[in-house]
Amino acid sequence: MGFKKSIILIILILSICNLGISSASTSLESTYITGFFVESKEGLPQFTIVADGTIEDYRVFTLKDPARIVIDVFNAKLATPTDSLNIQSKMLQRVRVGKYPDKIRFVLDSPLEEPPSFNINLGKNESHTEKIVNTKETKGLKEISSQEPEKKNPEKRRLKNFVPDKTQLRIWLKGAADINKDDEIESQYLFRNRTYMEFKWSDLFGLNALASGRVDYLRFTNGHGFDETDIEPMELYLEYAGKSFDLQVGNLILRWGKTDEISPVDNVNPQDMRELFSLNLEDRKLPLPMARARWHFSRYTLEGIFIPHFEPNRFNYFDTDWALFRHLKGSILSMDITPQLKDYVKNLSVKEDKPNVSLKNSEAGIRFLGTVRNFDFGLSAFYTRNRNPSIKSFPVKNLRLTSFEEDEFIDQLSKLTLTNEDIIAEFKRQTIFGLEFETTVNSFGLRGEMAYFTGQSLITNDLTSTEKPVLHWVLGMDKSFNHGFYVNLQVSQRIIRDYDSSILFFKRVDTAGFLRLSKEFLRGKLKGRLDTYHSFSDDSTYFTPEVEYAVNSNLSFILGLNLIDGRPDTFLGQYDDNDQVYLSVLYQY
Amino acid sequence: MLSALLLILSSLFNISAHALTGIDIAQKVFDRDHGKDSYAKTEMTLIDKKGNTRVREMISQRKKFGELEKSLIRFTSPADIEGTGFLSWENKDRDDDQFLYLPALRRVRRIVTSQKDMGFVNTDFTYEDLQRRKVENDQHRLLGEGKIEDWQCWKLESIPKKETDSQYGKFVSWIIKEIYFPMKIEFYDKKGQMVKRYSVNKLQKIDGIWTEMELVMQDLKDNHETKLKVKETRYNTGISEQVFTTKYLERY
Repeated sequence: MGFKKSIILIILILSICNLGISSASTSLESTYITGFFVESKEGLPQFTIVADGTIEDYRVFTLKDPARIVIDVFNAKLATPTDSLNIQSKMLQRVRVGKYPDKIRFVLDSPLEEPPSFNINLGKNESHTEKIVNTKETKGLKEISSQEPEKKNPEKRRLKNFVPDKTQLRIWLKGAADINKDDEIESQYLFRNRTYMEFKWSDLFGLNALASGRVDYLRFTNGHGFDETDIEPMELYLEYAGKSFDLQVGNLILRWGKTDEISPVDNVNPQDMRELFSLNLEDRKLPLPMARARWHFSRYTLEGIFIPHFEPNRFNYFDTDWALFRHLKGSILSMDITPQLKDYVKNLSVKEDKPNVSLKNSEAGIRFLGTVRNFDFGLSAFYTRNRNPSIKSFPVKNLRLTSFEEDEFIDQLSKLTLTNEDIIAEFKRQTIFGLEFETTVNSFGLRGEMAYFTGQSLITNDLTSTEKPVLHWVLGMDKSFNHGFYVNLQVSQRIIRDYDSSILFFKRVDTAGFLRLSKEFLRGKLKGRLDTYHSFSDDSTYFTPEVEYAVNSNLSFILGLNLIDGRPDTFLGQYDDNDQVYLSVLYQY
Repeated sequence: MLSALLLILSSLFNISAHALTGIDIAQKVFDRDHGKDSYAKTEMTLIDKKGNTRVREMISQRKKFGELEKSLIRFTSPADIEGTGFLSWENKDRDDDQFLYLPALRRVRRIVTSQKDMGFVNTDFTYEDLQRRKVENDQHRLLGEGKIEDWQCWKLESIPKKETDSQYGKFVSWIIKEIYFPMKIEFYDKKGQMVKRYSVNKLQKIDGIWTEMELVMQDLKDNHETKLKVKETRYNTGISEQVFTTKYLERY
C-alpha cells in the first residue's frame, strides 16, 4: 500500500484534571492510520497518531472509572497490525485500539483516579498558523509557513527510552606546589585528575534516573609520595517523582542545611578528606547507598532517609600533608634512632573496625522543612556514626603530645613504651540533631544552622580518641552588590561539652569567622574570590584567594593560593607548612 | 522563554485608544492576555562590545495563580550554566519570593528580591526586569504617538514612584495601539540618561496571543546586548502547579 505523506495527531498528556471534547468536520475519503506511538516530551507522555491524509474528523473525550481518554478518528482505517501498546508512565499505562465501521477508536488507559488533562496538536499545526511581523526583516504582516510533520518510528521511540536525555562530561585537572620547602618529608607537589561522566533520564519507564561515575587520580610527590586511583560510581539512582511524594533509591549525595561553606547540619554523606579543607565542600562529598523518601504538604516537607551500609570519610592516616597523623612516621624515621625502633615505626599500621552490613548497623534520618512567609526552616535528626575514625588504641604508650611536631616526640622518646598493639580505628555511634533556617531581610540573605552531636570523635594527646557531645552553630549573612560584588560572612561557634584537657587542637569553645568576598568582571568571564577562615579562639587563619577565568562555556582555569597560619597545637596550625599555589583546569561538556 | 521574561517586560507597558490617559494605556498593557500559563524554549545570545558571543538555551514557564503569577526559568545549555534555575513567586502584600538553584551547590537558595539592579546571570536583564511591574508603581504620561515600522504606537512615559525603589528614573515605551504591545522600551537612570534599550524584532501570534519571538536588550553603557529568540512556545497547556515549587526547582 503506497501512502502519500503523513499527517499526525498529537495528544500531549499534561496533568491531572479533566478537559473537554475536541472535534471537527467530516471528510468523505477514508484516511489510513499508519502508526501510533507514545513518547516522552518534557517529561510528559505524548501520544501520536500517524495517518496518510488529513485527520479532520475526530472526537476526544474522557471517561472515569477507570480513567481514560478516548479518541475516535472517523472515516479512518487501520493500516498497522499493532492493536495495543503498554506504557510505563505515571499518567498512561496502555493504549488500546478498536476498529469500527465508521471509525478507529484509541483508548488511552490512565492509572490515575481522574483522566489526565491533555493538549491536541495536528501535524499541520494549523492552530499555530498565525500572523507575524518581523520589524527588521519584513514590514507588515506575513503568514508563517506550516510545519511538515516529523515521521516517527514507534519501535525507535521505545528504544529511545534507554537513551539518556542528558549527558555530561567533566574533566578536572589540578596541580599544586608547596610555596615553601619546609622539610624533606613533606609532599612538595600534588596532582589530581577527576574525569566524570553523567547520564540522566527524565522518563525511564516512568521514573527519573541518573547514572554517573568517575576516575579520581591523586598523586603526592616528594617525601613519602604516593598515588591513588579510584574508579568509582558516583550518583546512581532511580527516582519516582509524584505530586506529593517522591522516592530515590541508589547512590545519592544529599545536601542538608542552609548555610554555605560551614554547614554543621550537612552530615549525611562521607567526604573525601585527602585534601581536607583545601577542596570545597561540594567537591569533597562522596555518594552513599540509601533510600530517600519525601512527602510534600503545601509548604511543608517531611523527609526520611535510610542508609543500610556505613561508609567513613576517605582520608589517609599517614604520610601526606593532609593525613590524620600527618608525617608523624616520617618525622620519627628521619631521626637518629635505633634500627629496631625504625622498623617498629615503619610497621605501624591501622586496622579499621568498620561495622558490618546489618540492620543494627544501619543509619536513618528524618528532616522536616517548612516555610512561613519568607522564612524557611528545618529540623532534623540523624542516627549515624562518626565518619571520622575514633582511635581505640595506639601502640606507643605514654605519649603526651600537644602537636605532631617531631621535637616534642624526641623529648618524650625515653619515656615511651612500645607495644605490639595495632592502631585500631573504629567508627562510633552518634545522633546529630539539627536546626536550620534561611530568610531575607531587606537586601540581606540570612542563614543559620545549629547541630548537636551526641558523641563526636576527638583526638587526644596520647593519640587515641575520645567522644564528646558537641554543639556547633553558625549564623551567616550575604549580600550581592551591583557590578558583581558579593560578600558572605559567617560566624561559627563550636562548644565541646565535658571538655577534657587532653583533647588536641580544639579548645572547649572555638569561635570562628568565615568571610567570602567575590567580584565578577567581564560579565562573569573573570571572577576573583577570597575565602578567609579565622579562629578567634586560637588565632589561626586560612586564606584562599583565587582567580577564575572562563575561556568559554566549556573551559575554565582557576589559579589560587592556600595560605594557612597558626600554632602547631591548633587545628589549622598543624597544616601551617602546607601553603601552596594551585592551578586547576575544568573542561565540561 | 521567556514567557516569563517577555511577559514581564511587556506588562510594563499597557496602553489604549481614544482619549486614553497614560495610566489607561499602561493598564491595558498590563491586562493584555498572555494566557493562564505559558511555556517557551528560548535561545539567549550575549554579545559583548567586540562582537564575541555566548549562546545559552533555556526553558521558561509561567502560570497564573489568581491575580498573582509564578514563573520558572531553567537554563538547559551550555555546560557551565546548565541546570541553573530561577523561581519567582509574586506576593500581594510583600516582596516577591525568589529562589535560585545552582547544581554545584545541590540546594535551593532563597535570594534577596530587593537587589533589583543586579544583572540576571550576566545578561542585560536585571532582576527588576524579570519582575512583573504593577501599573500603580509608576506615574504614567502619554507623550504622543509614533510609528514603528508599519505599526501605529503610543509613546508612554512611566516614572517609578519613590516608594517602589526602582533602579530606573523612567521608562519610555512604544506600544502598538492595535494590540497594546510594547515594541520598544527605553530605560533611563535617575540622572535622566538612557542606559538600556529593549526592542522586539519579531512578533508573532501564538495560540491567539501576541508573543515576542525575537527581542534584544541593549546595555548602552557597557555596549553589551542580550538577544532572545523563542524557538518554541505554547500557551494554556495546563502546566502543573508542581512546576513552580522549590522541590521541582532542585530536580534537574
